[in-house]
Amino acid sequence: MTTTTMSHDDAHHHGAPTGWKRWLYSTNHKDIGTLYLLFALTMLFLGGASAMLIRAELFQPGIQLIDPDLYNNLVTNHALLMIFGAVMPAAAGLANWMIPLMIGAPDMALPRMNNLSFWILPAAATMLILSFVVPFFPGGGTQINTGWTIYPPLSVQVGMSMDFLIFAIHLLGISSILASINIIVTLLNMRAPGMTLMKMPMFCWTWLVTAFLLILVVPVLAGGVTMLLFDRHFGTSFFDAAGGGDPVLFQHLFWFFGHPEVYILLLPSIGVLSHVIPTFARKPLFGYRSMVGAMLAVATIGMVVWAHHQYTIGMSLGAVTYFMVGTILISIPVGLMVFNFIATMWRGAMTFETPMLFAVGIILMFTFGGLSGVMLAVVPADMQYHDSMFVVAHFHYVLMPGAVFGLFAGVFYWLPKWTGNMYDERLGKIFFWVNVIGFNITFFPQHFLGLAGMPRRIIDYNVMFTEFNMLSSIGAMIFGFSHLLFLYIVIQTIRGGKSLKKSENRSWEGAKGLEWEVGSPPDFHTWETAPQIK
Amino acid sequence: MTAPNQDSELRRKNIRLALLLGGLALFFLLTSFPFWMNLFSVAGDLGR
Repeated sequence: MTTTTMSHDDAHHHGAPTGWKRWLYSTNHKDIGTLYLLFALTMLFLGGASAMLIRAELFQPGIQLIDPDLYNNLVTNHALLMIFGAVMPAAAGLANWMIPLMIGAPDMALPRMNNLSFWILPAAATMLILSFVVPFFPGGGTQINTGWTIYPPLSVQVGMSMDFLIFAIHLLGISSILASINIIVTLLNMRAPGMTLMKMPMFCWTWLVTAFLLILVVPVLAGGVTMLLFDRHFGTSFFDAAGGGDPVLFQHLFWFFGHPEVYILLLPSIGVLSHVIPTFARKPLFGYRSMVGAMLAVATIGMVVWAHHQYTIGMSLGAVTYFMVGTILISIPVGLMVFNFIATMWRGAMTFETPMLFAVGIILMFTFGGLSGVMLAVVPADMQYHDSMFVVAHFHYVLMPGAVFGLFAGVFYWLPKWTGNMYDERLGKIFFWVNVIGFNITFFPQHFLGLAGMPRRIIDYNVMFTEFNMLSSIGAMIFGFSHLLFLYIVIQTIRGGKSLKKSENRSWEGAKGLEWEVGSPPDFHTWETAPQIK
Repeated sequence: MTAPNQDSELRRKNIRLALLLGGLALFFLLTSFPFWMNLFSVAGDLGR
């Protein structure tokens, strides 16, 4: 894509507002992007702390540190904090920061709604954290012990913490839908003249698809949890067999949301990779059109295979066959994406700065997670793996590299643009290696634990599983604490200082796209005059 | 106000599309589960 950049710097400048009002009332996409990212980072540490407590407990068989109810509570909250608190807001943060810069728009299409989308999140997080904390108070009821899937009938029996969780999910859903609407409208209506859809940067494409997925599936979850709320408090029996309802209905509603949610988490990171790999391979992305097609295929097929999470509920043979074949089919477009990334690197003049290290790591580890996914997709095999630690290992291999490492790659890639300072590359590489090694020590042994028969979501286990659990817990401590280094690098880069180089407008030699035409850091307002795309 | 102003035509276009997408989300909310049907039957039972 060639661009003619019209001068935007000589347009009138408003200074950024100062003080707390800047953040509370902000309608500026960069400020709101920053807020999203800070929020996500906070949730990452909270979710990470709960994960480390889980792994500390599992270091040895027997009950060491926490009681079983609290253990289940931690398992539930770890997932919810990471998915809804950390990964989705972080991806939304990248979208807010980068989409207007990439498409030559002065801001998001609906700036006030953008402010609302973000500020619903702290309220939702408060509800979410209350669902965890409330049982510790007198009269607070039982701990929330359902796991993030909140299946009835257990979720109907849990105390008031479940109500806090249901309202948290509603608020998170509203925030996601508002943000998605904003992103779609921005991408469809605010692109610079000459930027057709098929000239749009791949990160924008991934977000367009993600936003549509969110709009289609989040309302279904909202519906499901609303019915749950009615079953809990208003005497309905949607999920109560005794009253003519069916608990399996909730599972269908949940996974109709839950499976596309995996792609909602993955696709923005695929978008990041589509920029990072061409930059550091110094070649254009291989197969742009096929990439778009693959993404649409993933989203479409991903919406109709939800019940592979429920093979054990006793579906008909025809139904499980359909869900199995559909699930395995997804590996074709996903494989195409991986092929395109490798083809982009092929004979490129590659260098391995931190974002590229994460990109290569993602391709290797995400592919590994995908392969164990194919194993789980096969019905007779899944009957054995179901609810075992093998599943835990699988989805962490998919979601950590596929989503979180992609977000790390994005942060390292765009941090020089955002702050005007180049981060400490040596520390970045140390973070990558410690993080990746810690991750593999944590989750690789869990495959063997699952295959040997250790169930997931249990506080105690047979002594035969001790060694792999010890190894996994040691890895988790390395992995968890490595994120403090990430925090240090980010703070150091934001603060600048003599030891750090200043970033040029084009922070990376091979970087291409409109976002690199603006300053580093960009002015408070950018692209007030739209660039012309040739 | 910290975002640049949009011209009124673009603003209208943006709001129109946003409402359409909001309607789509609402449609999925209302039609993807038998919620209302059951709610009405519950309401009917209560009235009896």
